[in-house]
Amino acid sequence: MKFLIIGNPESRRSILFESALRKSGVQSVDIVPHMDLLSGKTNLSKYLKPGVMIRIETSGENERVERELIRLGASSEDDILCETLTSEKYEKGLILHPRLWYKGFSEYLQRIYSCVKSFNSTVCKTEEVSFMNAPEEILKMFDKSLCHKMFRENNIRTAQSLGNVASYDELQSKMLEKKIFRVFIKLRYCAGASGIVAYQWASERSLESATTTVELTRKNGEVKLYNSLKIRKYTKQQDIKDIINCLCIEHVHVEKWIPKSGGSDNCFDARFVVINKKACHRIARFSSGPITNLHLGNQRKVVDSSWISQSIINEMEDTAEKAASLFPDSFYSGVDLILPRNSTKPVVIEINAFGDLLNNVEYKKRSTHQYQTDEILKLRNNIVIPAYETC
Amino acid sequence: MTIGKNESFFNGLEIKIYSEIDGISDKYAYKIMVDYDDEENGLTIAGKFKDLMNDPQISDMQALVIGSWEEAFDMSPDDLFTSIIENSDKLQNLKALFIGEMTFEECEMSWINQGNYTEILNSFKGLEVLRVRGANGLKLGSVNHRSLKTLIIESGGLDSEVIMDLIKSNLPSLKHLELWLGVEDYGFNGDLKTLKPLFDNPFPNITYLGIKNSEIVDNVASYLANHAILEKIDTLDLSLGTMTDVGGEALLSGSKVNSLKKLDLHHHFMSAGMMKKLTGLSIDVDITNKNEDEDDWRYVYVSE
Repeated sequence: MKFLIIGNPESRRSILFESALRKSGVQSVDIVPHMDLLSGKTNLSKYLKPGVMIRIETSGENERVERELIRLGASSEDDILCETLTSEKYEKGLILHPRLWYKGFSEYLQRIYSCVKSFNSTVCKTEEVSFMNAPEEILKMFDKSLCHKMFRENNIRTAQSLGNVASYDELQSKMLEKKIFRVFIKLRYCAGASGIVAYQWASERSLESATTTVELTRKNGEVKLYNSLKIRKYTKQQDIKDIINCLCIEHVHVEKWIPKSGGSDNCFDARFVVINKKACHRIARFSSGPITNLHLGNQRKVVDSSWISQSIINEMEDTAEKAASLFPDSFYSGVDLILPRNSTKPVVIEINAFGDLLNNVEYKKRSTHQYQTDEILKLRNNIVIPAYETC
Repeated sequence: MTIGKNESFFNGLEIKIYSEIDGISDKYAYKIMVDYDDEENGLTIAGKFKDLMNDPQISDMQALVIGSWEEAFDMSPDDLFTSIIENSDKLQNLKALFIGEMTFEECEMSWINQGNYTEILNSFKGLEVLRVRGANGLKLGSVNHRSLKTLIIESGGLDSEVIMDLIKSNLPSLKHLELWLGVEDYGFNGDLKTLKPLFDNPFPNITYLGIKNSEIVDNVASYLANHAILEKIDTLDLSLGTMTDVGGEALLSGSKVNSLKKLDLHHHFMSAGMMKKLTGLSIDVDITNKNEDEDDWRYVYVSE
């Protein structure tokens, strides 16, 4: 079996997946860098061979690639930005045009898809090139508002959404109207903890706070937002207003903030990696604040019956699998769940197309990547891999 | 730090979430609250309280815990207070009441809207324990209550008016008093002077004095170290605050500290050297939860 990884070759993800493939016995693994495809240095069609399976990796962690994607997104609507993007100095952590990034990413994935489609229809009609995760579904998973709508329509429990919000003022009037005074604001097109704000407002007391991964800076009157590893809590209205308005320009998804279950002085959410329709690797992330992402230094714990009841774990598995099933052409995804305080019924927070990297977490003695590659080979070849049979 | 865990016990009784099926016995404390599942099902704290009051065994209930209600920081509990008062005849055996049992994920402490406790205390003459979490909008009034033994007010920032009302109150049975003062940013507007009358003219039967979660704890410790009230009480609880070596040194050299049974200083900013000296005291001293200054910025246990 042949594999093609489209990714950043230097990234841990590409390296780990390739090594998992090799361990599963796959000999033919090519890697084509995002950068080369985006810059036109190479053409995807050169890499397409009959029967190849493509894994598209995240473009993140590589600033040049991210910038190319933004430029691609801006090309149809903002010539000036395209120009300045080239000259603009790279600033670590700056939240840079996520809406345009998504537009560019969509365009880029569309090109990949078209190339494969035309290969399949003209060159190779017997052994088609396929994707581990279909580009169309990767894009859907990157759209938080769309995912929320899909979950709702399919009776998968999610937090109530406040609909489209274009500004701080509109957010407050929606909060008043719906009588929801604690919300999570997230960038609509984005992954991870970038641009997350846990906002609460006591309208009658004009009291508000925003706990966030965003760092606000003002320079010569210009507001800039940075991703930060330090969680900050803003309590001044003008700061909060600037942050929210700035995020709204990039489009936001706003949901009710549900009190999460937790331990002695913390709360948690859980990431379930669903592989081939089955909830496999799972990890809970504990935080003493509302934002639980792991790279922010939060504690983690394997989800098992030593601390949470098996019936709740089963519910979580079912919910994660149900959420993933809305993306039938995706072999894997990462589903984030919370358990509302006192509840036994989990709520889906989001689904991540590249949510399968969980360090040092095993399922049936295999890493997320190893489990995927073994499963794919099993499916493809209908063979059993002896080394793991005893697991 | 914050309150992350719901309480399991109240007034020595295990807390059970009330359900009509299980009913009521005098062996448990009963809790009602509105969580996310309830909200989705359209349940309200008013409805849940009504169900509780309609339980045939309601008069057996010894202890009641009110947890989160819908949008606790935007909605005042006034209606709930009215209902509690209206049902005082049914709650004739209620000994202990805890209002605001919420974690930071449910509602941060300084955001919890509280109400006026004057009428509650007037209507429940037999109440022995009152615990209140959150002090926004909290009114005590000057209270005249002969049964109250324990009063705990947990806050991220306590208004001086509450302390002054307490000073004017007549609480002859009060043994255990805990005030969580909190920080200025969240509404604490008093100082040592505000508190002094509590120490100088103490409640006649007080044995446990807690001035907790406070950023002026060094001042309080310095004032109390040689104060006669220490001969009256068993426990001085100055925990959860920002105590430094200044407070530690004052207590160490204080003439009255050895008359205590217990000194609780957990969650503090004292040096290892000072901690060692304090463990040399002949009384029981809790100096766990040492914190390190973060950029010279010390914090109380709950400042939110």
